[in-house]
Amino acid sequence: MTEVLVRPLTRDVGELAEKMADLLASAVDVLEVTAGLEAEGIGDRAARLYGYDDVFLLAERLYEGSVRRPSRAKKAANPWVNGTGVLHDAGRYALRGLLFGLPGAGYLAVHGLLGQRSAGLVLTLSLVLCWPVSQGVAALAYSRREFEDTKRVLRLGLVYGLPFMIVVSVGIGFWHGASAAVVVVACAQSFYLLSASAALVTGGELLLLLALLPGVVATFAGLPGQLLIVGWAVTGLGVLLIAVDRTRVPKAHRTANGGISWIAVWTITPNALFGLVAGGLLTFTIVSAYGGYGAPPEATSAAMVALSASMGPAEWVLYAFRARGHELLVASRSVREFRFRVRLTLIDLMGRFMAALAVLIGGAIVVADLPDSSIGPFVCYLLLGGALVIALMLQSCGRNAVSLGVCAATLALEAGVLLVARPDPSKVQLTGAVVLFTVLLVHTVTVLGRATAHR
Amino acid sequence: MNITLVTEGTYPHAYGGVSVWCDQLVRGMPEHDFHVVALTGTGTEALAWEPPGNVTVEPVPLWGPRPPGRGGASREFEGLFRVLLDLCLTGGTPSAGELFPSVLRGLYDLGGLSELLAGEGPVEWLMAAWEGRDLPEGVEPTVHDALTAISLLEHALRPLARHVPRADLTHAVSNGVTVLPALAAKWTHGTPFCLTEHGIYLRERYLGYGKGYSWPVKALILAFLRMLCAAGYQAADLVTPGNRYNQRWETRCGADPGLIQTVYNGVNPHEFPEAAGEPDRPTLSWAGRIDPIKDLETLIKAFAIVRDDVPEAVLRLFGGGNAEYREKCLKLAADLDVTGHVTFEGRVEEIRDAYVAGTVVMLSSISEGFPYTLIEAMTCGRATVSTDVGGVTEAVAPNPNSPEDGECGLVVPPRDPEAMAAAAVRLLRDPEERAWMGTVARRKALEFFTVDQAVASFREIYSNLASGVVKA
Repeated sequence: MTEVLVRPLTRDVGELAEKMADLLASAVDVLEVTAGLEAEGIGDRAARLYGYDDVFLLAERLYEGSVRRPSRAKKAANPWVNGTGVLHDAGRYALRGLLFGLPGAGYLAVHGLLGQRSAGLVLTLSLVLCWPVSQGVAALAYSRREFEDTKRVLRLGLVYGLPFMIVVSVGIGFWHGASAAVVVVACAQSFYLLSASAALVTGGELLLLLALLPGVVATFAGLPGQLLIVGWAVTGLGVLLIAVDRTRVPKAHRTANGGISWIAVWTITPNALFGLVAGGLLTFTIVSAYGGYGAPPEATSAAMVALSASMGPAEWVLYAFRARGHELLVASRSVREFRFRVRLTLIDLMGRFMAALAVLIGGAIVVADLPDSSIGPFVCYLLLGGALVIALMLQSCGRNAVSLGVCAATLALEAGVLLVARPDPSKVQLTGAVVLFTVLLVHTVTVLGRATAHR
Repeated sequence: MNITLVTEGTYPHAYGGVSVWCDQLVRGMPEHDFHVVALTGTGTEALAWEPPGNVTVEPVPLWGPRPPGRGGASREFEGLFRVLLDLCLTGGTPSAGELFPSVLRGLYDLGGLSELLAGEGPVEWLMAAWEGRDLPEGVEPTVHDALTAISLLEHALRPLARHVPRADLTHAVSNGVTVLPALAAKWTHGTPFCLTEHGIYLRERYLGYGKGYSWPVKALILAFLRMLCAAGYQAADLVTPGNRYNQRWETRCGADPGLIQTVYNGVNPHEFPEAAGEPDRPTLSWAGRIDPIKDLETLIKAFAIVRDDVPEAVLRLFGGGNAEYREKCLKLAADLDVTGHVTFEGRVEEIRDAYVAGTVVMLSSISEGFPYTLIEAMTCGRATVSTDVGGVTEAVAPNPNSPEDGECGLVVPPRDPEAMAAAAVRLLRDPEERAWMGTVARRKALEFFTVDQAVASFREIYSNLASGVVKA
């Protein structure tokens, strides 16, 4: 047997128990104590110095001579709370809402173009088709753990997504006989959407606001045509600089996970498709109008801008729901208790969001000085906004299929009814919104009330 | 012969001692076809090894998307799963040894386990099971605990979801979840299986789950793994640990001592020729992965003591790894005023250079199986000072064919800087003992720890198991 060069030390089990107190208090069995002793270098030879034949027997003696009193595990950080404080969060989400709504000023700037043949349709279709691309790229970027990988995905999204959207916009413009100016605006719109996604995903909200200001100020100040163009050109340049800066990854920082695999694309496909379907639901009356089904209600544009701005509060609602869900999981001692409390939270947060959205849409309609007949679009976009937020909640809890399926089915039904019976598109959209909101709300209260939805 | 080799987090997706061993095995037996079932994280990991032509690789991700299944609740599933929870919460009573494998098989036969475990039922059943238990003071399981525990079980059981092709033999390269494909093959086709352990899977899980999980989660998962390991030991036709020291845990956890055969790791002697000469300055060298389990802090403390007696001594540490731990070690060296004399050399192209660089080669780990670094240093003819962990004493014990030659290296208790320093000083000061120890170490390594011997042992084991002969 090999000689081990030990120093002559007196070993006392009581002292050892004291030294290993934390291990003994939280051990689940004797083997855990054995493993802990061996990790401290106490094997069979050392056990003999304590008077035991092997480390298992020593562990048994220590385990039996101690009381299990595990210290409370350190409370794990809530993954849905970033710890920057309520006021900071409120400001950030309000700013994001503003950034979602402000680009609407761009349409005011090009209102002269909108009178051209098919201009509105080309801009709407290219916008709706760009949504899935920007949504998909953002979802993919958010899925990366390393910030450098996130930026690289956003860069790839721009490098491949923008040329794709330019081809799509040119194709749509050509198909509908739109002017070159309209096609250029459609391309600029795609460029903005993809760049803004990069800025928003990487926390560049303030930079994006600064970039938007020249164009927005020039528009609302009613500056003459050439100055207006200069204003938006400065905005475009600013957005370009942001896009380059927020997606730049030095070669030395690139990792093997920075690319985009087909598996990753498949994973985010539901998010991308949801962007497409949501676009279809929101622009239903606008697109229908170009199909000869009658003009959309006058309040539609104002309601859509308000709804865009509400996506800031919507994000807050999503994070608040996930954060509260996590807190309740940690605090609840029974599944029944958890279900009851998380459903109450869901209803409470949705109520708050709907109230905020109602104020935004109502305010937009009043500011736009639109007629009293706006009650229809008001209710319709209120319910559509609510439905989309519920769908996003489902997605955030990994329930992509139902949210996408119900939204797609509603859009298909709306289109089917319109094609077959030719009713007023705004009534079809309103009915669809009522059904969609009701079905999704009932489903969500049921499904997201389950503990397993909050893994 | 078609052999299913099951690995977890090692070959062919990661480097390390176990991967080296797997590579030696599959390359050493080109006459057999190996189907490597590699339990991985997400399934997107790149290959770290280029498998030879007789090897196919099937990654089985434990943490990727859930495997498909029919889902929903079934009375049979509920019944079986409640029994499993009961076994886990009672801490594995004597009857668990028989009941656990049959419950596991019942769950395997049901199929679609991942989907079944994704439902709300298992969480409710676990909460209900916890309600009636006597738990330690202050322990109150939450829904989050139940969700975490069920999720860990679901991931652990994923290897049971794969289709089990027929093979002549399954060779599991560790216990725990790695034995699940071996158990499935045995249940489905009656395939014999060999279980090799380099470290002790269960001991490592005890240390791993000791931190980070709440007590109820830890208790449940460790009870599950304890019963799974016992099932692995009991179902294996032969257990082949990498050292005799491991047998203590194996027999304690249910392995039949009559079915245990130790097979030592081996190195290729051509890659580790005898070192010619010694470095100019008295040098202690160390090679390996920089990690807390290697306890470099004790080594640095020992080195500081060594310098009191041998002031010109230096310590050279070879290898990459945990940067945070490296910083901690550097700070310790600074605190002990030996900064300029301790150098982290990083990885080296040829690991032999790390051994040749030392007058004495050190191993300070608090846990090891049968360390390659030790037998490689011995093959180079270097004298060693090692901690008393795993199979270290077996490696450096006197050669049984020439016991009069004496020890092939010095062994000291782990976490004992004074003892380690005393041993190092003894060898640094005595060139004759050092040279003799290096000579007998090389002689023993060439006689007992070569890759050819390790491969030949497994060739015979495979042949015996496939033909129904079990000879430990």
